Amino acid sequence: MKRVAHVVNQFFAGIGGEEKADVAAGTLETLAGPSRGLQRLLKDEAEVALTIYFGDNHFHEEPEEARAALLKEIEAADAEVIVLGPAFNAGRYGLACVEIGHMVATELDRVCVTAMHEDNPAVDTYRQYHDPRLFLFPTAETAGGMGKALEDLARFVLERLREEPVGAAEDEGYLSRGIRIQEESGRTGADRALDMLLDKIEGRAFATEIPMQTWDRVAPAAAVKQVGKAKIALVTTSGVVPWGNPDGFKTFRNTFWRKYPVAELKTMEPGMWEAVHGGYNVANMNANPLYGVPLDALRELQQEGKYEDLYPAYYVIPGNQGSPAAMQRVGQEIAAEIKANSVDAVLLVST
Amino acid sequence: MSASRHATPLELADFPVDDLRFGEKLHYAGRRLEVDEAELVEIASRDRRILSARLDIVRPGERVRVTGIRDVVEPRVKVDGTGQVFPGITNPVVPVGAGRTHRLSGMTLITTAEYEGTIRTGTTAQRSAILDMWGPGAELTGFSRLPGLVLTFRLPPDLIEAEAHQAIQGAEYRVAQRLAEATVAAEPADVHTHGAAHGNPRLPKTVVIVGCITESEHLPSGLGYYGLPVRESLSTVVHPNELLDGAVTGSTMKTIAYSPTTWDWQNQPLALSVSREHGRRLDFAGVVLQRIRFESFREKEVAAHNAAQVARALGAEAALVTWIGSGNAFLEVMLTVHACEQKGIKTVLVTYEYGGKDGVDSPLLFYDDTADAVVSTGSRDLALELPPADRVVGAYERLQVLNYPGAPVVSALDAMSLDAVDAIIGGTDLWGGRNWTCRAH
Repeated sequence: MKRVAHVVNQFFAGIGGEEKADVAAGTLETLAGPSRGLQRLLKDEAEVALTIYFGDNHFHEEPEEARAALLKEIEAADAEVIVLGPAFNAGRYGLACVEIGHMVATELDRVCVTAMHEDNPAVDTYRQYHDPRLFLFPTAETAGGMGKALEDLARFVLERLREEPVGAAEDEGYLSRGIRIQEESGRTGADRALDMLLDKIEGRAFATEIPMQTWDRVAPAAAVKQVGKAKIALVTTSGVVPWGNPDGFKTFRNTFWRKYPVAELKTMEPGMWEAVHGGYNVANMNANPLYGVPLDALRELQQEGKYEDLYPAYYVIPGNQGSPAAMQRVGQEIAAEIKANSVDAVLLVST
Repeated sequence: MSASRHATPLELADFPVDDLRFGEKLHYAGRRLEVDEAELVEIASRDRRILSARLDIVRPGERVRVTGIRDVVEPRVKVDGTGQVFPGITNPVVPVGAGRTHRLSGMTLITTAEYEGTIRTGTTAQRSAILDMWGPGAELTGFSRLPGLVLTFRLPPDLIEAEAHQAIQGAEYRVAQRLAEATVAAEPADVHTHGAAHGNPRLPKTVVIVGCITESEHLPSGLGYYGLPVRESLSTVVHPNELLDGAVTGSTMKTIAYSPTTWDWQNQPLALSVSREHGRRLDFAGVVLQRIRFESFREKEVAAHNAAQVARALGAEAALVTWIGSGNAFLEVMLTVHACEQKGIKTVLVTYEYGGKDGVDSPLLFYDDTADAVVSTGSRDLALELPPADRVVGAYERLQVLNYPGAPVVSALDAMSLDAVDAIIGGTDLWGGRNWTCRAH
């Protein structure tokens, strides 16, 4: 019979409340109450093989030890699906369920499913992981919702054991992990658009297919106090690189940056550099790479004492079609490196 | 257009093609089209920039890969009304969009050409596409489901992009029109009337706004109207029926999934949807072509304001807003939604989404809270493994899967890993012609 492992905290394992929250992870000799409830719902299609427990405090205070022990116990359980919780509105418990689920999904490549109240802070962590093997069902705030939560979990577990494809969050009832997957809708986009428009005109309800997001706003850094003594670095998204594209940048969707030395150079000679970029007409940039890397002006200003020092290399990535997540990481990496090299200010040349 | 009593409708007659084959002479009967290769090669070659031409046939399900694709066209010919298809390109600038037009529906004319171009990178660098008629690549695109006549050209190596485009487009349109002439005396399977007058002045006036990225300093610009390249422009209005007769065309130098082919313009799905409901649930007030990807935010705001103003001048109460392009051009699209909503024009935005290969990146590049009604036509960022092909047809036996200086060259027969669907013709559903969407998991 297909095996399911159930992971709960010390309270739901029946070991004790807050006074037992320091207990180390382990496996019960008999199933805990919620595990027996789960077993009843799985009927004879699957076996809840064992209840694994952890102490709420122990997990967070001795994370490495607790995680290693839990991973070992869960691996030994040889289960196809791992159920964690439900944790309702318990913050530490909820976070442990998400963290353990993510660890097991990643390390053991197993489907993990947990449940908790939508306002549990661990839900944010769950969404941030975008983990394709970890699912979280919403529950009531308190253990009064145990019956419904176990029903949701059991139904989902059985679907996975039957190897049914996982549907969209809205259809299955789990909370979205922010993973968008392409699927057939049964009707053309044009027909859906027309109906949505008529619904909107006539004041009927409609559901957008892409909800709007709110993005971070980056506050500009404070002005450099003494520019005359500043060390300046040049960073550009223009895609200007040595002619021949030695590092194999693509013209779009790049995920890495490079730096190229300019310490010995007074200017950027046409023909020595080229713009690798699919997002603008590069004819002018190739004819005059100073548009992307204004080295001549920087050298002149340095001569005039307008600033102290130019960092000996410039940093570049072609910005075209960059994914916001990749670009955020690239920006952080470049910033970390130049900050470690005592750069005071950056001239960021975008295109 | 509109409820005017002077509306002049266009009858579009369907001649489906299930069976496409070579024969002695051009002949259409019983959903079968036979083509005379020698005749079509001669027609294509009436331009000394076409050094040679040849034809192949590809069928749905065959393990065949078409390479070097520059355009896809649906063969059409006007049999009644002023003008002829592809006005300003292969026929005189005479107004089209009224009368009767025949279409060989359910087949494609796919044009391929080997051409390296004079520009290495950037938005004006030439790009060609591929098409798999089977397997995972075929799933994504509607063109794999139709029998295709593949027209392959050889061009002189030193042509500039503008000339290569002109040569390819002229030759493919001459051939497309000739193919459709096979139907002149035949009985259509179906006839659809577009833009007929109706007597209901209360129906909500609706426009389709298409934001179009253009190359302002380059030919081809990416958008043509009666053959005139649109480069710098404020929004302009065209009659939906003009699309059906090939008055709006694209570029054969930038053939990527998010750039429309001639077939896409001839079959613009949003215009067809609205046209179908014209006189029933709404009134089609026109198609607004809006130039997008201006350089500064201020210019983008002006372009958006202007498109909304043009829609307003047409009396629009509602708009389907969509686009072609990529990157920052999307700002104008979102700002146009905003500008329309501010003017009381209710909008639905139709767009592909990004999201990265795992679907966890931001689906769009810019957001505005007024865009509360969006239709997703699916992801542009799907990673794809293409299996090896049995046969390669078209311009290239070896090709670069990724288009950048120094990208590796592989045999076109080989398996290929794609990190996005850009290289597959029709791989991105630009305007909602297909059933794709994305949903949150």
